[in-house]
Amino acid sequence: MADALSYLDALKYILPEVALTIGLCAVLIWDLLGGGADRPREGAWLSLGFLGLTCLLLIQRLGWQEATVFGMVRVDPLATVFKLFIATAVGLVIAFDLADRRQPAEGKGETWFLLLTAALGGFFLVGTGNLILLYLGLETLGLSSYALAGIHKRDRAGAEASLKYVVYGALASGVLLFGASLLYGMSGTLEMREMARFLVFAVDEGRSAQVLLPTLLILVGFGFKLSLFPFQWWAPDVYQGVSTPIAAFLAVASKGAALAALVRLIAVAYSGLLRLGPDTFLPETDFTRGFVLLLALMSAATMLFGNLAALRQENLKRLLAYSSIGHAGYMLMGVAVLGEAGFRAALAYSFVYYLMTLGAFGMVLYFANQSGSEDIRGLHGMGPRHPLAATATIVFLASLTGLPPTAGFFGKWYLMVAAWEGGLPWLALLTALMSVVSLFYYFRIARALFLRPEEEATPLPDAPRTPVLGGILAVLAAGTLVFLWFEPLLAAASVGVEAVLHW
Amino acid sequence: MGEVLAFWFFAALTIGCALLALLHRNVVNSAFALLGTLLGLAGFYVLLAADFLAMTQVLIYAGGILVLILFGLMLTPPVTNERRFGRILVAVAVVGLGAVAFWEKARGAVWHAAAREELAAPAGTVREIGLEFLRRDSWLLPFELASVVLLAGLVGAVYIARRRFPREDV
Amino acid sequence: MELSAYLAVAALLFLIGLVMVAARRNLIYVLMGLELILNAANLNLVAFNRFRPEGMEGHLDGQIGAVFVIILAAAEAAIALAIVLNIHSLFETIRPDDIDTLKD
Repeated sequence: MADALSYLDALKYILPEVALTIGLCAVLIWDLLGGGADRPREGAWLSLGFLGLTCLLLIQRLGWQEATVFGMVRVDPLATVFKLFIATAVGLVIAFDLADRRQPAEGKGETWFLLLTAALGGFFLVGTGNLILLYLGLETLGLSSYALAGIHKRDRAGAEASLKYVVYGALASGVLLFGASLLYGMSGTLEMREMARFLVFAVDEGRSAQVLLPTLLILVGFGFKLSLFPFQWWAPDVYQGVSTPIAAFLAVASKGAALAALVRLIAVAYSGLLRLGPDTFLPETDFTRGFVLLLALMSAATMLFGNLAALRQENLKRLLAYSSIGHAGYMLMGVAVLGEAGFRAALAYSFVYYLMTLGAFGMVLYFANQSGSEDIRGLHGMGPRHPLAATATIVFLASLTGLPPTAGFFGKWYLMVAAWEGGLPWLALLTALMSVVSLFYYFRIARALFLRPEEEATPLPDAPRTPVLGGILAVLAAGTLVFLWFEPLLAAASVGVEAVLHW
Repeated sequence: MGEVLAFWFFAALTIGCALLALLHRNVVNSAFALLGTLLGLAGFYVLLAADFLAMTQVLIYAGGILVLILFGLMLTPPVTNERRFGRILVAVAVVGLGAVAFWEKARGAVWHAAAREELAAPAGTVREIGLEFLRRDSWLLPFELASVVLLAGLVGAVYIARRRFPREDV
Repeated sequence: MELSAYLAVAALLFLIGLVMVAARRNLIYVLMGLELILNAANLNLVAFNRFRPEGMEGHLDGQIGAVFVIILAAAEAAIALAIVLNIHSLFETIRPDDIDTLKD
């Protein structure tokens, strides 16, 4: 693929990645020079500075024309928007980590470094149409996350969480790679765009089963990252075992990147087999019907499992893990429609999910700083004493449930409409039912905050004040509440989907 | 004829050693059996005209990763693998059935749109792979990203495995 | 030999690897199973690369992909073994079934 771009022009397209790479090298050198142990804050500011620079470069690139540079890196709206998604999420995770007063100071330099490498992996994951580069990006993100999960190495729960994550993660990515190698064999190319016509050809010839096998194997890999049923078993244990900021990273940045990559893969490599794609004049194939049914069943099982298991949790992080499994089910519902409206709704919902899930994990962190406990019991009586954070929490919970004035309601509404019109009305109804179920466990948190008397145990004597964390929570809550934001979010998702569908 | 013989030899080596690794009672022996599998794969790569890859396989897999695994075994207690007959029977059944099913499937399947019978003569790939890695519109960027992955792996592994704290206070 | 013979070997290796991971006898044994899965994918990539139709771009893509997989396998083995060693120093065991304190 000979591009007309000169070397320097091509380099301009990947300047955000270059800035991030320079940033991670700078953090590593700063850590080696002895900064990590003594002055962790400076390293955080260094990382945040480079992330900020990356975000500025990305914003500058939002309006640029789409291009494929360096042979296999795709710079289009979907990639750029999700790179912003990842970079800002990692920035907030770093801010959370700074505000977490219950962690040892050890290993901070490594934490910042690994967060930046994970972001770099995510950048390539969302911005490529090449299966090997996709695997490479996925593994860069994955390897950094395994190490991040185990970064508090004296903590037994953290070590166990990192072990479960690395074993299941490596297995899932290995299975994905095996599936990718079969797709390569069927089409003779690693580029998703060229693969598309071979897949259509194979299905036309009646070799649907042969296309289905690699598709299933690839879904295992993505199902792990997105914690979809039946590949979600790791999520509750891992989220509970790792520190809260890292759990927020896994729930938001890692999941968002995987969703964008999955949408790109399906929209591009399977473009001839979509139900409501650009080629809708083609008759619907058996493969398409089977694929829709498979994704819809996965989505339904994920919602059911996540929401029902969340009902009886006492640990807040474990509860949020199950709730994030449920939300992954909602997002997959949009993908299952296999059409433009569905992809758009799924991506738009992932932006809403970003705001409210980061907010919810920030809330856990805030109150754990105060009470020293990550259980629901630790929240008892906290509401009146921390009105701002408690109000923000109510907003996040309302949005996670999908109650009307919040962004969560609009996101879910679009998803349900997309599913209804895409021929999956039963899935839309199940979503509504599951939202009612989720009200029960989200309401337990609100009740603990406001309606329960304070426990006998007094809060930590030197309960730290974390104004920055409070500020972040307020901003996220405002974002979740002001539903006017939803239009631009939907527009961003829409532009992103069009870019990949008409690539 | 020679190629067919070589194929069956490497196939027997690869699968036989993999089964030995799967079923052997002692993990150390499993690790050494894995060596046979990895070397057999290198043989396959030679048959498939991938000389650079065969070399890489021997150097990195057999020479690097396997040594890492043996180090891991040395640093952890010698766990006796209790025989789990139930699981092993299930395992053998799964492997057997899967192999039969896949063999039936793969024999009839057309993998390429234009599968070809006549193969090109094997040619050295070292030079070409080297050029591909450094060509701008080819694999240059993934090559650079791989160095970041290795750096992240190194930092993560060293940090987690380093024992800065005395054993007593664990 | 025809392509399907190589694919059958790769599929067998993949299944053996899956069973090794599922048997969960010992963490290092599990890691060996993971390596087998990656090797099976690599054999697929190289075999497909050899038998791919002529006249398409990127005629070494499969082999180069396999090189990247080997690189990643090395990094992954390093991190996984570091985590296993850490587990051993905290739990005094590397039997997966004994390391299950986080649960409902």
